Amino acid sequence: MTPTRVGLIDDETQALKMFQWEFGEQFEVYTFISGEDALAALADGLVIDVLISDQRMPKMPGDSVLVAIRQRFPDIQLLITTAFADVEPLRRCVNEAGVYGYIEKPWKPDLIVKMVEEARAKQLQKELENTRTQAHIKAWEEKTRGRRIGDIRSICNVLELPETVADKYLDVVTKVASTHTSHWTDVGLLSESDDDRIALDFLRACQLICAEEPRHSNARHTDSIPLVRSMELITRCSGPPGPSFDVTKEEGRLTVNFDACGAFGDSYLDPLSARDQETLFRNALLLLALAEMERVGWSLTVDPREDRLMGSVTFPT
Amino acid sequence: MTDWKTRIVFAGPDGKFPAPELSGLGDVIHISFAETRLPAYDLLVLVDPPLDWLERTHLERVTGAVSLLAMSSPTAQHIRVGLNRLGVDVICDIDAIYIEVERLRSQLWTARAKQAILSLEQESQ
Repeated sequence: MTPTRVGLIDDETQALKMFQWEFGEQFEVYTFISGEDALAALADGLVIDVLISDQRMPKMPGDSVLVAIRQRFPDIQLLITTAFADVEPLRRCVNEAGVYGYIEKPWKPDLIVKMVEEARAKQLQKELENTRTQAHIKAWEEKTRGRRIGDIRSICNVLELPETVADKYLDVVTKVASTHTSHWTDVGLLSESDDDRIALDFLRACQLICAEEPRHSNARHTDSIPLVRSMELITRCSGPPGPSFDVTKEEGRLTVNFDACGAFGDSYLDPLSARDQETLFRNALLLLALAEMERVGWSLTVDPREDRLMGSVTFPT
Repeated sequence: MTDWKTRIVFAGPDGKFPAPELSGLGDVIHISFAETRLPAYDLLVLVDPPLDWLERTHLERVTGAVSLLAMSSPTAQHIRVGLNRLGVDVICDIDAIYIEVERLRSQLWTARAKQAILSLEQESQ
């Protein structure tokens, strides 16, 4: 097992040397002549498990050092040591730095060993808990996403769309939609029945768009519908200064390059996405636009930019 | 199932301080500093404990519990013993007891909710 990495901050070189001599064989010891030195070393990537700081030091006092370390390196266990009975800094060490213990000077080596070992044990327990929590969050995200991918395939079946549309939808939405970082408190907030309701809302949004189709495509040939839907999608995602287009012609095909200047928005696949009608509508519109493109041999390519909907629609001429 | 009831042990010098009304925040047991053993608790409130009581009473860091040291004029020795023997989480003034208990209780509930979720995960595996 790796020895515990213990740091000591003290403005007296004698104290640092004594600490190194006393505990150097038992722990991996690092010493710092000031709080600033310790902070710089940690910022440079030095890993320390338990850090002990003297309170009275000329530049940065111990309580300020420990509060700064707690804010920037929350996993380090902290101990304060002092020969003086200054109450306010000690109170700050407890309330703001969350120190594990207080060691009076002159040290009793046994007490240092006991406190360091206890603090390290607490740290390991927290690490284990965090690892388990992260694994649990990941599993929950994957399960929810898997369920929603299944929903998209079912929606395609109900609407009699080819399954390749679902795959294309997953590809596009993964590239352009924004996702949210889950926290353990999110886990379990969304029940399976809520998820079923969202899937039904998604299906209703698709059906609503399909029902409104004649109004949009009035007097147009069916082949122009993909462009209508694509245009509506781009318009819905547009931001200032508004969407822009350019057209490139190559032999046998025409490509409309677009930049909506705005974000596509939340992904239906994201467990933490917004569940409002607009989000569902936009996602449904994308699915249907892709279905129409698939039907008439067009294709949509998007740039993988989460903050902006941009890409190109290509069709044969 | 998570038990959301908070067992609060309130230790203070009898008659000297009006105990803040904590019953709305959990089940409260009041004890005096004549006791040398603490009942089981989730949240411990110590109000101006004598130093010798802190030193001779059976105290330990209880996993999953939190503690508060409320003092009108704390000394470094009170802080040292409270921290090293009990792992005291907060030191505050007497008039801040209620607000700090409320805050610690939310902290406690958050930790319990996390544990409950992790236990469910273990059960489902």
